[in-house]
Amino acid sequence: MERLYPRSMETLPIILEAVAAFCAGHGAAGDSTFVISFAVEEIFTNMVKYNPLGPDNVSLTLMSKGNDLVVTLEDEQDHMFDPTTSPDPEFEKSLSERRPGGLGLFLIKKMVRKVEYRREGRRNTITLTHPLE
Amino acid sequence: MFTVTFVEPTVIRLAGRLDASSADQAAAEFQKIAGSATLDFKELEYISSAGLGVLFAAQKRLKSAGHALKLVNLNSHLRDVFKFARFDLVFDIE
Repeated sequence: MERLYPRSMETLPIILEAVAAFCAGHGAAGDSTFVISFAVEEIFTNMVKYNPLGPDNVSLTLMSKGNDLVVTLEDEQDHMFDPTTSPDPEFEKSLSERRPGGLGLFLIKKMVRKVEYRREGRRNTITLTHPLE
Repeated sequence: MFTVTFVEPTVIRLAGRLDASSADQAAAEFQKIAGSATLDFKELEYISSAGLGVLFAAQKRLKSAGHALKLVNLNSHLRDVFKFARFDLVFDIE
């Protein structure tokens, strides 16, 4: 099911409700719903923050495939947004030196079973695959 | 929906969802914490990286003044997130 959502932080609660409803409707475990909600929020927030002049809407597709939940977010922008190659946070630094940047994408890579990125023309496509249970 | 309740000046209960929509509210509430305190996560269902950033900033501010936040009653999802984020090295988690 593909839907377009306005590029705005005000849309976030609506998106997270849609994700929760889809997960519940497909019998997803609480862990899976948490992980997918976390990942969708992080990626959508990045698209809103770092591509403010992009098209009015961001595309979100929710599907189930076998025992997996497959979530795709698509956006058009001038630059790549590849969460699979984002640098890890500065864990080696002390608390006073450490900044929280990069933590969300790092956590997606740790928690979601498969994260894929594709760029075609100006279109960035991020696909998340995670077990329903 | 996200709420912060100061049960006592040093015991603070978080409830609901601490995500990008509620991060500014959480940051404003955490600014009221002036010394070491316990954050009770029993009723916190969800946290995103925006929420983690707010908690991290509060701990950094308090530790620079010789204080610290202790986190209690984390559900299993939150415990995993904190472990992956290596926040178990930043916070005392019970």
